[in-house]
Amino acid sequence: MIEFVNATKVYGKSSSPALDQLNLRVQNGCVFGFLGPNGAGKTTAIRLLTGVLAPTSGTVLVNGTDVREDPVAVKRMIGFVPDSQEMYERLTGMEYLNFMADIYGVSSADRKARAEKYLDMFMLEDAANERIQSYSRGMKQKISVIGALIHQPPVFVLDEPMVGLDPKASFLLKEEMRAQAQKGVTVFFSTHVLEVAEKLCDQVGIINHGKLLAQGTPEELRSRTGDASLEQVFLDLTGSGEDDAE
Amino acid sequence: MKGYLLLARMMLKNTITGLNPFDRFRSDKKSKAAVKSMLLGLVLLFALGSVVYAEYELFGVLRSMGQEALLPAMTMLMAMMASLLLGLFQSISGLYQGRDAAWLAVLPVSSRQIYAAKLTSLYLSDLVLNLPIIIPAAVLYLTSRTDLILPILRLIPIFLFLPVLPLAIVSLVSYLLMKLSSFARNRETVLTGLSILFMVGYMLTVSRISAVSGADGEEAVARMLASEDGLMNKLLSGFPPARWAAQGFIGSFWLMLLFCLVSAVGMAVSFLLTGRDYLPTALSAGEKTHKGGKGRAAVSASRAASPLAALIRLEIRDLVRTQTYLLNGVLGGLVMPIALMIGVSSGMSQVGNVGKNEMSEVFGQLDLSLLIIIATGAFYLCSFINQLPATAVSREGRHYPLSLSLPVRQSVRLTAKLLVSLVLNLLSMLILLVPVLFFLPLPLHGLLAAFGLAFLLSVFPAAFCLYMDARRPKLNWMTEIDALKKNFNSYFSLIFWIVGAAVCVITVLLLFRNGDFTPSLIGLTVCAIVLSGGSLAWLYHQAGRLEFLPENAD
Ligand SMILES: Nc1ncnc2c1ncn2[C@@H]1O[C@H](COP(=O)(O)OP(=O)(O)OP(=O)(O)O)[C@@H](O)[C@H]1O
Ligand SMILES: [Mg+2]
Repeated sequence: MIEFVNATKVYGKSSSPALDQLNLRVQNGCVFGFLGPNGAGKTTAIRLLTGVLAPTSGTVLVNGTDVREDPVAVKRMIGFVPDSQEMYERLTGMEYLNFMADIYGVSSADRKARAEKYLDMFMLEDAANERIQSYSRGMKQKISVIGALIHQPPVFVLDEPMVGLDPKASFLLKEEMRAQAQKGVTVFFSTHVLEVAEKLCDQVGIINHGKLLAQGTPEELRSRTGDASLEQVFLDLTGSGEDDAE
Repeated sequence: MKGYLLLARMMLKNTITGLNPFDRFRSDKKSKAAVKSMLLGLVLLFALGSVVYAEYELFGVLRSMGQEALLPAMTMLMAMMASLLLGLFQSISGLYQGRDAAWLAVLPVSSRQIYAAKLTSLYLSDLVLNLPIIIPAAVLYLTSRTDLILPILRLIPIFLFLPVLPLAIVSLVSYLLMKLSSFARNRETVLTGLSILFMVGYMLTVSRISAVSGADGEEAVARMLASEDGLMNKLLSGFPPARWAAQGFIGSFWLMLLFCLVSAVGMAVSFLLTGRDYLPTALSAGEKTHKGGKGRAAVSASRAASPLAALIRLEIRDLVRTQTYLLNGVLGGLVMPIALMIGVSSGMSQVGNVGKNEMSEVFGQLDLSLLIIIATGAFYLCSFINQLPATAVSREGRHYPLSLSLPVRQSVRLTAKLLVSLVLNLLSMLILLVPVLFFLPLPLHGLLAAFGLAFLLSVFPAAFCLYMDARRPKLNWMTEIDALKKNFNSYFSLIFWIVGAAVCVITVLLLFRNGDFTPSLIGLTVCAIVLSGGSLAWLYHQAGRLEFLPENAD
C-alpha cells in the first residue's frame, strides 16, 4: 500500500510548492494512474515515493514504512522505471539486469529465469549482449522495465512508461502491469496517455499545480463530472489550457 | 562568422557557470552563502598562496645563482608541455567525443565555424589554467628588473599566445588519431592505444632532449637547473617556441614577435587542414561499433558478492568503457608517475652507473627520517592529478535519480566511488616505486613507511573532494568532458591536494630543529592521520544528509 499524507515539496527557494499537501492512498493490487499536465508535479510525487527526494513536510508510507525513516527498506520494496532515457549506458543489457539483481539480492536461479522470461517477452534477447548506449529509445525503456521487475517488487512504480514503446511493447507492458496487480502488487504510474489510464487503471488521480484535483475510478470521475470520457474530465479539471498560466 | 560567435558565446557561458566556484552557494540563504563563500575564498587563497610561495622559494635559489630569468622560462615551458600532454586527451574528448556533435550538425553553421568555437573554448580554459602559474612567476621575475613597462607589454601577447601552438599541434594530432582509428574495427581500443603511444613517445623525446650528462656530487642539482648544458636549457632549446616566448618576455622584441607569428601560423595551418572535415569526423566518431555477440548471455555467470561489490564493478566499468574518462581521468592520473619513471630510467641509462652511484651517495648522507619524508612527498605528488573522486557523483549525470532509488545507503555508494579512485592512487604510486627504488637508498621498512604515509595522505583530497561533489554535483551535462573539466568540483582535487601538501610542508618545517628530522616525520604522520581520518569521518558523518537528490544540483 502506498500512502501520501500531506506530502509537500518545495524546491529550493521556489515560492510555490511543486507538490502541495498531497493526500493519496493506493491499495495493494491496485493499478493507479497519475495524470496531469506538464509540470503538474507527477515526477516530484514519484521521487518522494522512491526516496530520491525528501518531502519538505508530510510523510510518504510504503506498506506502512515511512520513506524518510527507513529509505533503504522502502527502496527494496520498489521496482522503479524512471522517466528519463538516461541510464547505465556503458553496460550491456544483460550486465544491467545482473547489476540490478545484485543490488536487490536476487538469487542466481531467479534472476536467470526472470531475465529469460522478460527478455523473451519484450523480444530483447538479441540485444542483451550489446551496450545500452546503442539501444533505441524504446529498447532502453524495455530494459529499464525488465530491470525493475527482476526482483519481483511488491510495489511497481513507473514514470511515463509508454513513451517510446511500439504498440506491441506498449500492449505487453499494460498486460504485465495488470498481471502484477493481479498478484497483489501495487502499481503506480504517471502518464499522459488518457486512453491507457482509462482502460488500465483501477484508480486515477488528476493533479495540477501540485494539487490533487480528483481521485477515483475512471467511471466515478466521468459520472461525477458528467463528462463522456476521461479526456473531457481531464480537460475540464485542468482548465483545458485557456486560463492556465503555464 | 555569426554562427561562430553565437556558438563560442554559448560555450563560454557554459564554461563560466561550470567553473564558477561560488555558483554552488546560489540557492543557500544569503548569510549562509556569504560565510561559505568566504571560507571557500580563504581555501582558494591559501592554495594560490602556496603556489606563489613555492615559486618565490625557487626564485630565491635561482637568484643566488644569478639565473632569475629561468623562473618565467621554466613556468612557460611547463605550461606549454602540460598543454601538449594533457591537452591531447582533452582535445580528443572535447572535440570528438561530445554527444553534442549530432545536435551541432543540425544547425545551419559550417563545420569550420563549429570547430573554431570548440577550439576557442579549449583555448580559453587553457588560458585560465595558465594564469595562476605564469603571472606570479612573471611578477617575481620583474622584481629583479628596473625597467617594467616594456617587459609587461611583451608579456601580454606572449601570455595570450602561450596555449595556441600546443593547441594547434594537439588538435591536429587528435584529428589524425581519429582518422587513423576509424579504420579499426575496435575503434575505442585502438584510439586509446594510439593515445598512449603518443604520450610515451612524447615523454621519451622529452627525456632524450633533457638528458643531463656527467652531473657530479653537490653541484648536480644546481647544474641540472641552471648550467648551459643543464636540464632546463636543454629542454628550452629542444622546444624552441618555449625559448622564444621566454626570451621574448625577458628581452627580445623580435623573439616575442617570432613566437606570436609561429603560433598563429601553426594554428592557421592546423585549422585549415582539419576544419572542414571536422564535423564529419566528429559525427562518425559518435557511431558506436558493437562487438557484442548475439544470442543468450550467461545470466548468472557473474554474480557480485554484495551490493557494494556490484557498485564497485559498475564504477570500474563506467570508467574503463567511457573513453573520455579513461583518457582524461585514468590515464591523465597516471601521466605524472609514468613521466617521472620514463624520465628517470632513460636519463639514467645515459648517465650510466656513475651517476646512479653519485646520486645514492648524495642521498646516502641524509638521515632516514628525511629520506622517508622525501619519498612520501614524491609518492604524494603522484596521487594528485586524479580527478575521479571530485567528479564521481557528477559523472552519474541524469541517471543519478535511478542510482538514488537503489536500496543502498549513500555511504555505500560513496564508498564504492572512493575505493575505486583510491585504487587508482595506489596504482600511480606503484608506478613511482621504480624510480624511488632506483634513486633513494631506502631500507624496506622505510619504503613501506613512505608508501603508507603518502597513501594515507592522499585519502584527504579524495574524501574531501568526493564530499564536495556529492554535496553539489553537476548532473545536467551534455558531454562527458563537461562533467570532468567544465565542473569546478574537479579542480577541488587540485586545490585540496595543494592544501594538504602545504599543511604537511609547514608542519615538517616547523618541527625541524637542529638537523634532526625525526620530529618532522612524526609530525607528518600525525598530519596524515588527522587530515585523512578527519576527512573520512566528515564524509561518512555527512553521508546521511546526502541521502537525497540535491536540489541545487546543476
Ligand atoms: N530540480 C528542480 N528544481 C526546481 N524545480 C523543479 C525541479 N524539478 C521540478 N521542478 C518544478 O516542479 C514542478 C513539478 O515538476 P514535475 O517534474 O514533478 O512535473 P511533471 O508532472 O512530472 O511534468 P511532466 O509531465 O512534464 O513530466 C514544475 O513546476 C517544475 O518546474
Ligand atoms: Mg515528469
